[in-house]
Formats: sequence, structure tokens, C-alpha cells
Amino acid sequence: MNHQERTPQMKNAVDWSEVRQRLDAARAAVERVWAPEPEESRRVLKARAQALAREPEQPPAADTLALVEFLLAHETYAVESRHVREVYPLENLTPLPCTPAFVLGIVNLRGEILSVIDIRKFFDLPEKGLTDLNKVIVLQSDNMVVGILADAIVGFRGVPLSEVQPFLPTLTGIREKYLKGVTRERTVVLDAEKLLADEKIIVQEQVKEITP
Amino acid sequence: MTIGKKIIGGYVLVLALLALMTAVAFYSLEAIERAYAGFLDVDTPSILAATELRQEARDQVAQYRGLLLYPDQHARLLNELRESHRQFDVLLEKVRGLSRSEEGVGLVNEIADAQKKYNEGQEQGLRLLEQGKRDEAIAHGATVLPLVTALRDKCDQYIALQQKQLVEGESDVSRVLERTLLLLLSISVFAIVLGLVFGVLLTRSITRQLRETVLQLSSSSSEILATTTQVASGAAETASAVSETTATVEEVKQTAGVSSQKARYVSESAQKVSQVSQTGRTSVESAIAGMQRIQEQMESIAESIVRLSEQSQAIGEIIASVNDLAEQSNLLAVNAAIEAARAGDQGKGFAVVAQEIKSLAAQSRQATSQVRTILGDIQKATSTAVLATEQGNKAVEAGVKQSAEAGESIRLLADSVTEAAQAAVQIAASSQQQMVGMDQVALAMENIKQASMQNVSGTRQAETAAQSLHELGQKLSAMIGSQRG
Repeated sequence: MNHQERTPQMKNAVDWSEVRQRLDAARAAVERVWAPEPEESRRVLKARAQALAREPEQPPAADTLALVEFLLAHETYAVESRHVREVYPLENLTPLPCTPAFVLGIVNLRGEILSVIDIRKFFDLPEKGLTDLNKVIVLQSDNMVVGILADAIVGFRGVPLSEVQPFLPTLTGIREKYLKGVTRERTVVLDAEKLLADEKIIVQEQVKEITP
Repeated sequence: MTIGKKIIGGYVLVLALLALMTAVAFYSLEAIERAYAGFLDVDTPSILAATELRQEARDQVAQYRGLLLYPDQHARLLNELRESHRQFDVLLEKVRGLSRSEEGVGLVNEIADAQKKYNEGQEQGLRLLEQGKRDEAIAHGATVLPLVTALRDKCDQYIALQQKQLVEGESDVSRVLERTLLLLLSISVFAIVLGLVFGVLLTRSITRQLRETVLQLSSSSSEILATTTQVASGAAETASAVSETTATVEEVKQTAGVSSQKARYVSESAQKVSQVSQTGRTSVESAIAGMQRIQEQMESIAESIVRLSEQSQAIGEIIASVNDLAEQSNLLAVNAAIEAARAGDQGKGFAVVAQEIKSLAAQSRQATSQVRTILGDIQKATSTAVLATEQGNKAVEAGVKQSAEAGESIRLLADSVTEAAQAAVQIAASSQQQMVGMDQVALAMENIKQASMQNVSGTRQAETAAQSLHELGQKLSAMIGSQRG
């Protein structure tokens, strides 16, 4: 395609044989991708073997914290994996009326009705920039199941407890209440247990009838 | 009033006078002649007859006497006497017829009476004689004698009367003659005077006119002389000019020949140019056809590029779905890791698998991201290619248009050249005609030359004629005289 782009720009005589050669080379390269040459495939296989043959860098320690990291408003957050039931792409969100602003709506997750909250509003984080908000992290405790929205799921990671700094003097107020700590990579570890146990999350609101 | 009329008038007047005079003279002559005829036919015969009467009377007397004297001759004398009587009667009738005056007629009657008396007396005597009484007869004769005498007297008287009348008539005639002469003389004098006066007047008027005419003639002939001299010099100049013109015509002829040649050359060149322009037109048409083919190729290129773009869009869609799959794989890996963690030590192998899946998903995402970047490049490139193709198409359209214009220009050029060729052919023909015309002009110039030569000689003759005319005028002038002819 790039070759064809260049041909009209050639003001003078076009070397069509060269063009044909280049086209043939491109076609051959494309075919090579699907049917790699023996040398190439050997090289790839060798690299994979080396990668597999490497020793694991760290033996998993016992006092590690299994975290599920996610992105929200260009910041990395994490929750403990023991409170996470699963992650799920956000589909068929139904907004609910007469709910607090942090309750975005409800979703049907394999027959289970689940309420979805926006922790940015819950934590009064500043809203800056557009975000995807297309992932749901289902948090579960003994008596509570709730979905929180995330922009993207970074992954599952085990972090040693020593690396988590529990105290952050700059964070105060409501945030402090739900924070568990901050890792070295400045990932904010949320305390899902407290979040699930919070009274605020249980919506007991009654709408008065508006009499005309 | 023309001179001829004047002269004719004068002559007519004079001739009228002459005719009048002639008429008067003729009338007078007629009258005189009549008078003389009267004298000759009437008076003189009457006198003669009267004389004869008298003679007869005497004869009768003699015969009577003879009878008386000579009885033996009685018979013859008697006869003679009888004859004489008869003669006398005849004469008397004649005289009576010739008598014109009353007096004459009376005398004639008296004569007749006297004759009768005398006759009776004679008869008496004769009877006496027959009776034989001669003496008595002779005695009787004495009585008869006075009768005879009376008769003779009467005759004499008549003669005298007639003579007197004759004399009177002669005097009348001479008087008439004198009068006539006088009249003729006076008319002649009048006619002469009138003729002279008229002649003088006529001559004066004619000479005046003639003098004026001759003066005019003289001056005119002088002018003619001068003019003919000028004309002669002019004719000479004309002759020289005609010679120059002939030379010029020859030059023009040569020029026309040259221009004819040039025009033919131009015509040939124009025909060649026309052929060349025909070739140019076909070239332009093939160029237009090539341009149109290029245009079609351009369109197919553009279509191919658009199709490529659409296909790259499809690739993009596929890539998107692959990306989606990678995302889902990532989620699955996260979920698997959560489950593995929840399973504790039993889930450790599963955690590794989950880790692998996660890394595969990450690689897939990276690959799709690269492909997306490449696709973006391809989209940009195809857009550029489409744009370039469009520009190329436009350029080709402009080229087609320009080629069409060039073809049209060449066609116009060919038309113009064809017209020029026709014009050159016409010019060639015209210059040919011009050459022919120049030949004719040269011929005409030769004719003009000859004519001008003739003109010169004719002018010389005219000059001579004018000279003689001048002399003639002077002669005429001399003939007429300076002042009074």
C-alpha cells in the first residue's frame, strides 16, 4: 500500500519493474508471516524455550497481598482479591431513579441483579477527563454484593505486605476511612471490606409523592 | 431675321415693284393695242369701205353712163351694175357693222337712204332704157346725178367723220401713252429709290452682322490656333507619357508574373500545411483518446484504492474484534487468577496459566495496536492516493480539454490555411489575369500612342486649318471693309 502511495508522487518516469518487485516482496512478506520460514520459526521457538526455562523471579511469599489492580480516572487503584468475585465488562446498565448520585444503575449479571456504583463520586474524587468506565469489578462479602466501575483492569498481582505503606498523611477524611495503603508503585489499595460494610452504600431512600 | 430672308425680302419687294410696273405697262400696252386694234379693225376698214362705197358709187355712175352710152354692151354693164349694187349693199352692211358712233350710224343710214334714192332713180332710168327711151333716160340721168353727188357727199362726210374719229382716237391713245409713260417712270423711280434704300439698309445690316461674325471668326480662329498649338504640345506630352506608361506597364507585368509565381508557391505551401495540420489533428485525436484511456485507468485506480480502503476498514473492524477478544481474554485471565488465589495452593498452576493468558492477551493488544497504527497509515496513504488520483483525473480532464482545444485550434488553422490556399490560388489566377490584362493595357497603350501620333498630325492639320481660317477671316474682313461696305 505504501508503494502505491508513492507512485503518483513520482513526477518523472515510474520504474514499474521496481514497483512490481517491491509489491512481490510485500506479498512474499505477508505470506511469510502466515507461513514463517524454518529459520524464523526456530528462532521464535528458541526464544520461547529460553523464556520458559527461566526460574521464577520470586517465590510467592506467604505474607503477600493478592491485589486486583484497576485504572480509574488515570490513577491505579487496587482491591484485595479475596473480596473480588469476578471482573466483568459493563453491559446493559439500567439507570435507577431516586438513588444517590454514586449509584449509576443496575446490571443483570447471569440472572443476578447487581447494583453498580461509581467510587469516584463515592470518594468525591475530582472528575477530570473522559473515561471509559466499561468494566465492572464485582465485590462480595458475606452479606453484600456490589459492582464498582473501572476504566480498565490492569491485572492480578501479589504484593508483599511490607511494600504496602498503610499510612499516608496527606489523605484525610473520608478517603482515609476506606484506604488500606499505598504500594511503591503508588497504587492506592482500597479496603473493600470497609466499603462493603459502609452504611452509606445501603440505600434507604423514600420518595415522597408529589401532590399537585 | 436671317440674311437670306432679308435678301429674299428685298428681292421680293423689288420684284413686286417690277411686277406692278410690268402689270401697269402690260395693261397700258393692252389698252393701246386695243385702241390700235380699234383703229386697224374698225376705223381704217370703215374708211376703206367708205372709200370703196364711194368708188362703187362712182363705178355705178360710170356703168350707168356706160349703159346709157353703150347699148350694145347693155347686158354686161347691167350685170356689172347689178353686181356693183350688191357689192355696195355688202359694203354698206360692213360699214354699218364697223360704225361705232351715233353720228356714223346716222350717216350710214343717210348713205343707205341716198343709195336707195339713187338706186330707184337708176332703176327708173334703166326701165326707161329698156323701153327704148334713151333720151328720156339720158334726161332722167340728169336727175339721178345729184343723188349720186349727194351719195358721194354723204360718203365723204362719213369718211371725214371716220378720219376725225381716227385722229381723236390717236390723240387719246397718245395721251394714254404719255400717262402710262409717266406712271411707269414714276414707279420706276420709286422702285429704284426703294431698292437703293433697301439695298443700302440690307447691306448695312448684313455687313454689320458679317463684320461681327468675321470678327468673332477671326478671334475664334486665333483662339483655335492657340488651342491647337497647346493641343499639339499636349499631344506630344501625351505621347511621351504614354511611352512612360508603356514601360511602367511592362514592369507591372513582370511584377504580376512574380506575384503569380509567389502565390502559386504560397498555395503549395498552404496545401502542405493543410496536410500537416490534418496529421496534427489525427495526432491530437489519438492524444485525446489516450487521455481518455488514462482517465479510465485513473478511475479504475481510484476505485481500486477505494476498495483497498474499504478492505482496510474491514481489517480495522477485525482488529477491533481481535482487540475486544484480547480484552476479554485479559478479563478472563484476571478472573482465573482470582479463582486461583481463592483456591490457595491447589490453584497455583492455574495461576501460572492465567498469567500466561494475561501475557498473551497483552501481546495481542499490542499487536492490534500496531496493526491499528499501520491501518491509520494505510488510511492516510489511501486518502492521499485518492486525492492524487483525483488530481490526476482532473489534470487528465484538463489535458483532454486542452487537447480538444488544440485540435480545434489545429482545425481552425487547417481551415484558415485551406482558405489561404484558396486565396493564394485566386491570387495566382488574378495575377495571371492581371498579366493578360497588362498585355491588353500594353496593346491599348500602343494604340493610344498611335492615336496620339495621329492626334499630333491631326492637330497640325487643325493648326493649318485654323491658320487658313484666320486668313480667311482676315480676307473676309478686308472684303467687308473696315467701316462701311
